[in-house]
Amino acid sequence: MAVLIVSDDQALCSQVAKVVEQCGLEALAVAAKHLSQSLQDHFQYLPALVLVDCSKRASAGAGALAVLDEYATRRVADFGSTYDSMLFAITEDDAWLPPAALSIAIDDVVNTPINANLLALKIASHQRRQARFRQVDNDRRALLHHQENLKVEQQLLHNIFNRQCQQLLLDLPNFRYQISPMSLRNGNFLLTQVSRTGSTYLALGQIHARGLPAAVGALSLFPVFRAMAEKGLPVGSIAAELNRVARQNLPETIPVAVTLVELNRGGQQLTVWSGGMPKLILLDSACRLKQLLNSDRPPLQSSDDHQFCQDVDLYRVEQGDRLFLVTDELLQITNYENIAYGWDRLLSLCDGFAADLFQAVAKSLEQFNEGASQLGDITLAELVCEPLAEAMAQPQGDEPVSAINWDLSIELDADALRRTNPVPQVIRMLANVDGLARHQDFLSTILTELYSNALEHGVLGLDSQIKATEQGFLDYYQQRTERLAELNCGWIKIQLAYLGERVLLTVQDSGAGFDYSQAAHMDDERTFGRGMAIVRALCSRIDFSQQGACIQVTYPLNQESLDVQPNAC
Amino acid sequence: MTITTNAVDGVVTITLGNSFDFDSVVEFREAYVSNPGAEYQVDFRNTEYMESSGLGMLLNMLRHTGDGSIIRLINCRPHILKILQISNFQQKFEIG
Repeated sequence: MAVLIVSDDQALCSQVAKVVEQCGLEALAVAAKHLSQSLQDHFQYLPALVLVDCSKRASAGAGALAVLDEYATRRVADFGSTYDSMLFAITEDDAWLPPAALSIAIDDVVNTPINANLLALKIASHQRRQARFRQVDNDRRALLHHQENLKVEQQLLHNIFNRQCQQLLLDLPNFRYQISPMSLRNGNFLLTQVSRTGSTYLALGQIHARGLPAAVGALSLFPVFRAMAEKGLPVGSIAAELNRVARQNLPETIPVAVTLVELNRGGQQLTVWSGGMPKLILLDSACRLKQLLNSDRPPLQSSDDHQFCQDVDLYRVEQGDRLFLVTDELLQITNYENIAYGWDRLLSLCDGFAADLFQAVAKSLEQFNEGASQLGDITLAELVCEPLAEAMAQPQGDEPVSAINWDLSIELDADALRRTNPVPQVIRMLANVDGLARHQDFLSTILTELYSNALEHGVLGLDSQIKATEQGFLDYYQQRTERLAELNCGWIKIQLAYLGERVLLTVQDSGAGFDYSQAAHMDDERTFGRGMAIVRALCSRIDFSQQGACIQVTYPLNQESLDVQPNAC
Repeated sequence: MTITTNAVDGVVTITLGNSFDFDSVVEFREAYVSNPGAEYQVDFRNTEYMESSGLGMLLNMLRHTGDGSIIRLINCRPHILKILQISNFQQKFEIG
């Protein structure tokens, strides 16, 4: 710590410098005629204490006042609040100070003749005060740093929430929710997905951590849920995989509570895996409590892959039933009297009088908390049990259409028939053709049925009538396997022609044909003869030739009838 | 993937494999014969292909379990639903 002594009196300078050095400090003592110049020359050393000779003599002749001005200006302008320097004025007696000095913040006065002990005391006091200032200043800087970090963290959380969390929340007509970036910061996450099987999946979870660790932990689980739910996998398997990923990504000490729900396409069945979460509330269409669905499993992270319990709970539900989900936060909110909100308050709202449970919860929380609403932090979700809205079924995008016509011909002799089933291979080829991908499943069905018909009846000579009884059914396929294994003659030709708007599919066999007049007429009770009816329903035209040994079908590529009406079932 | 069966609260769930065709005829029959119950679910969530032989197998199951029992066909992909609809299966099975 440097101390600057500014005076034109060499003796005074030396005397003060001596005291300063006795205090263990560095003295910059300069006896100069132009005091102002002296200050300018030495200010760069950032003296922690400046003693200015303000005696009548110095004030009158050597420009002490200019020094005070200069000092006052520099102290603020150059270093702002981070430079803590003090100004002591040296005067002949207590009663006199240069008049202008009164407007300048002088911290203390040192009288001449100098009392060394008193000056040493003042300097020591100043040192102690400055040490405290440094401590406070360091704390302030650390807080500023934390504040900056927090701002960045909040921005990140906001982005994560907007880009990842909200995007994964589908706009479903039968689903309502409330979640905020603040909820994510508290470790809550809510995700939905519609599977290719038409089920609606929902995940409500709570990571028992806060801030960025909670959000980042949650983030690693999103893609797992998204991909597995899209495939329509069981919620128990999804839970097991989430457990595995959570164990990989999160410290063991952070449990992850989660409820996974699957509502089937028809809206009649809920499949639930729930661990560490509050019970789920099942309400009827009038918002009356029907059942509390238990969640007695431990949260994720509690067991390793082998011990993990994938068992689920199944619930049959009525159309219009509502599944209401909350996180522990709502139940644990405390009011000014330190009483928790709790189950009883929540369940008292499920009496059929509140048509909108979200509003009812908001109102009840406000009353509970005497006006200080904490609803923004609360995560709520409500799923109404009804068939999947048609618009939510996975969209079939516009696909490019092949501009050229082509055909494909495959001839299979007995050897090939014995060794291979050509249908999957042909379908794999078709999957790569522009415009055919979305028809792949139906073309596969048609080709499978035509091929089975040609192989089983034409080439192997099996009689479908055998399949009329349950034992016959088994016998039939037993015979199919045996005869195919011994096959040494016969053939099947498959021709496929792509003609822009339609596909012509021809399957011909070496057999004697069959009575096709009855084919494609469905008998609802019969366990056989359905294949041709399916082909007829999926194709715009079916032509038999060579006594039925050759069947040609036309499959239109622009048909809308492919779209399934889920409500029809 | 093969057929898996489990019973929870009196509901027998038979989850089919990737394709439902005559290759699974014995295994499928075994699944319901060895798990007698009044309520069945045939879960198609893993099933990408179904042949008409699969329809026959479902009708055999219906015959076996008798009139009093419920068989639900669940989690069908759209083209399998379509095949079930073409075959009027919604009149015999609960589909959802």
